[in-house]
Amino acid sequence: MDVVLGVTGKGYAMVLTDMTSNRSIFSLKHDEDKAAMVDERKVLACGGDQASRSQFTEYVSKNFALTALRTGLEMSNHAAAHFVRNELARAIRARGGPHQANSILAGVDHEGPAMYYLDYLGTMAKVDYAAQGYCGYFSLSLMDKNWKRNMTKEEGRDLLLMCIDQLRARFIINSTRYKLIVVDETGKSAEEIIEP
Amino acid sequence: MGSRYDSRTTVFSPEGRLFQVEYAMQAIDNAGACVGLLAGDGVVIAAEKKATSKLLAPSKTSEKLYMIDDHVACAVAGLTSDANVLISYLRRVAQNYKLQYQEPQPLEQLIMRVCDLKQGYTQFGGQRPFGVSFLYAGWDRHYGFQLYQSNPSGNYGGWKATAIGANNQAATSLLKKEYKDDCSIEEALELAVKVLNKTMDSVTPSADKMEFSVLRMDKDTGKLVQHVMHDDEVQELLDKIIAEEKEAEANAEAKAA
Repeated sequence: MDVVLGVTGKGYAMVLTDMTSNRSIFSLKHDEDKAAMVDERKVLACGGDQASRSQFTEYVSKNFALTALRTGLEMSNHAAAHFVRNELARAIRARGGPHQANSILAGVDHEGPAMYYLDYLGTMAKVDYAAQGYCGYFSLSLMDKNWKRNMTKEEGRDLLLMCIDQLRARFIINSTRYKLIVVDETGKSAEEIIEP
Repeated sequence: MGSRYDSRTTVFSPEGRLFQVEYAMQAIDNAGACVGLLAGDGVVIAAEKKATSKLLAPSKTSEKLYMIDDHVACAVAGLTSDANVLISYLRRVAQNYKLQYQEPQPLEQLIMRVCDLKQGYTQFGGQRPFGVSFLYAGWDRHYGFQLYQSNPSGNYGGWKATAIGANNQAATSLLKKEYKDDCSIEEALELAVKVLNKTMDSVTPSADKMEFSVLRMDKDTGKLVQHVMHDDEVQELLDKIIAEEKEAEANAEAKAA
């Protein structure tokens, strides 16, 4: 029931996640990070089981760090996304079982911003905007209608706020806090906690 | 002759040398020469085909130049059978990378992998090292066109122009003298012919003793192309050079007169 959203725009990609950690009928936390920088200019926003999510994010980020050390080169968004997909596809066929993590990988590289939708089955799609899980039922139509190529950061943020409004009006799970992370060519350019 | 430090591949001599590895490298110095040149708009590698029996059927494929992947070619000096093993390895590594990352492997990473394998035989005993040196011509989006060389010890390095195999010292000294930065592919090919001619000690170059491969960007499509020259193309190149040399001689004579 996590909220994991993302949009790309002119020279940037941004992701928005909720910050709750729930178990059964309890809400345990309101300051959970569900999106993390996994490379200089890449962010991984992840929904799913808390343990799987943090294990998976860490696994990905440490592998990117290792690659950077070994090669001295920055991995392209394309290569990084395929690495992540490969890991998900490997895990689902392995004894340990799948990573229960549905994610959005977004970043900026020499070709500009890019965003990838990845779920625990190993599905991957290169997208301009994305939503992971139930939150997509309430926000994808808004994005379909209002997303435009080369939106400014403000326009991108407004679109995500519009999605939050709709989620708060229609979604049975009401989050109180959301985190927005913006990545541009310099790396993480903004991080904001949104409390509507 | 040998000392007791010869028998095992992985034991240092008192001077800190690994004789078996050095012998492997000496063996390569007798193999047919290969030369590589980095041009401004591509990379050229060329190799000498050593003449064997005239009864031997000529090979249908290239003998010393191999395609590793769309963006990498290599030239071989040394034991061909050892080279075949390493070439299969290189091809597999390159394809594995493509499978995992869906993009071509940066050149140096690929070379590092095969050099790690080569190095292993200088440290872990039981088997002999690979008796092969390679020249690699390649392109990647990080550093553009590149030329590398590797030897049996597992050392590798990037070069603007270099040669391996028989008479490689003579070849490199000629390259040092005549190589120009950012030369064109045509100029690089001409210099490659000159260098091969020198290493082969031949007066007139012949097309059936040389192989050439060119890696460059196609002007129309903007895509990378790898091309092993056909016999008639090689002949055309040689004819052009012979004609130029004759012209130069005639000019020199005219001047002297």
